[in-house]
Amino acid sequence: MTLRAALRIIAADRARLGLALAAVAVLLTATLTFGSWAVGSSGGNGYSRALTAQNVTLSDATASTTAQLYPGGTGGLWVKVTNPNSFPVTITAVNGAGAITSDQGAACNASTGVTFTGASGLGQAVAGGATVVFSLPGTVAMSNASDNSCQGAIFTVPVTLVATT
Amino acid sequence: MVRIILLGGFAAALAICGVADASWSTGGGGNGASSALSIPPVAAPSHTIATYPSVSLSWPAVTVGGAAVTYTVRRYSEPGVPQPVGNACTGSLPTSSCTESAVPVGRWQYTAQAARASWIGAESARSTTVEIAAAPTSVACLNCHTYGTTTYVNAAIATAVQLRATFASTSLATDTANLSLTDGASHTAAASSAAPDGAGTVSFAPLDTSTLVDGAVTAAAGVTANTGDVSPTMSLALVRDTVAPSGSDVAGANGGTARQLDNGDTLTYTFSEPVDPATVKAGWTGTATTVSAVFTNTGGGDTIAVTGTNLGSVDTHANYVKATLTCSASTMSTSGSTVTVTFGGCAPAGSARKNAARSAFTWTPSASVTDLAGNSMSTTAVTQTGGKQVNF
Repeated sequence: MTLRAALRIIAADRARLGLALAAVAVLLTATLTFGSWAVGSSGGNGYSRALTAQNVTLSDATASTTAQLYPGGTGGLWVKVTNPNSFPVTITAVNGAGAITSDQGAACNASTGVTFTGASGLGQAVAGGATVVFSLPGTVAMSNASDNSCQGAIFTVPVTLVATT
Repeated sequence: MVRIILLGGFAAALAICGVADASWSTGGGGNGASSALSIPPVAAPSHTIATYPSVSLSWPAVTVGGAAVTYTVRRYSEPGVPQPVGNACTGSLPTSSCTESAVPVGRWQYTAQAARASWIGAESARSTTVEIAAAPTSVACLNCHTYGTTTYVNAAIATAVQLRATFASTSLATDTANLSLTDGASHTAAASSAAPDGAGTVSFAPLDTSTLVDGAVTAAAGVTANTGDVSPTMSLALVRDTVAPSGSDVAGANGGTARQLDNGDTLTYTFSEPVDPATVKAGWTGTATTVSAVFTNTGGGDTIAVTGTNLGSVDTHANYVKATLTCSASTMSTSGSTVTVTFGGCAPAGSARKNAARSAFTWTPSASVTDLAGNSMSTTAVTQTGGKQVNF
């Protein structure tokens, strides 16, 4: 069968073509809704092999920090990211996601004076299966309200990451 | 069947093409970390007493993250009792130095502590001790000669001047009392001794002033603490005068009949320097006083003596009297370096001769007369200047 003959057959059976396209659309919508994605298609026939994009994970980065904060000063935020996927992702933004605490106890926690401004427009690549520690210089500020007990503290800064493939 | 296969393949191809052009978002949540500095400790301040009793302090500056800090200075007694800090070391200091003024007498130690906003660094170790030592309250010379308000070092004590300093209750046994004598040419003689523990006096070993020159001399007593800090000094003004006075001249003058001894005639003794009137006549202050002058006939070298005084004897080398003549109402006065006796009440009148020959008097002073410094008069005889002349 020639290509022209095949297209003629497809064009002649528009009803079946519409069903096939609808099936593909449903498949794509389902995968993207869960923040993951799939390569290939089941096509309704059980032949496809699915890929799912998992969220990156963050772990303790305290060992990588450099003490920089002081009342009236700014410092960096250190983030340790693991990409569980088999493909690379790029961290594009880091946003604050809750109250900042310290390892110095209640007095410091009550008045850390620390704020995280967030960072966007990033291009931090994380290879598939890799763990990367990176810093965001100047994104953490400490006000003069920081309690005396916060000297030498390590601050835990809750964040969320935005990543793309 | 062929149609089904073709339609399925076409749809799959569209799906694959669409996915290949997509950019998928993913994400994650967790914790980032950031850490804080600490204010570094400050080294113990160093100190000097720039201007007593002000203590200048300084310590190495520190920063936190390169940012400036402020400092708090504290002063402690040696046992560690906090003391109020005076100007200008109070409050929050922007610099790593200050000078505390009007520091009270005592032994003190200082600390410095850095701060930035609510952050406070560790207080430094305490400094070494600085002592604000009190000056002696007085200095006295135990063997100096005093005339009027002037204290003299004369020849008799020049090699062993005994000085004593008095100390207040703040005196410490760990202090050393110092004494120095300094003349106008900056020559010095000095002595030291342990200071009393509390109020008391220190009598220094006698000082030899042989290396000093005559004139104004300052005795200065002070304290050196075992910290090396020194107190102000208490001074005593002295005058060193080791030159013995001597007779310079003696001369008579007519006040009545020329060349005849009678009332109104005068005899003037001239010394090399002013003398202490009290050593000329006991209790004499220098104001005019009545004395009795006695002329003794020796047959050609009649002598004159003033009773009750240390003016010595005068040989007239002339024949003024035929027998002893006593001028019991004579007046003795002094001015500058001279003592003058104006004869009066001379009797008996017949004892005086007329037309006495010209002569040059000779005067032999008495060692009992002293200058104002207490140096004894030289007894070397003095011959009247100007040669033979009519004296009375």
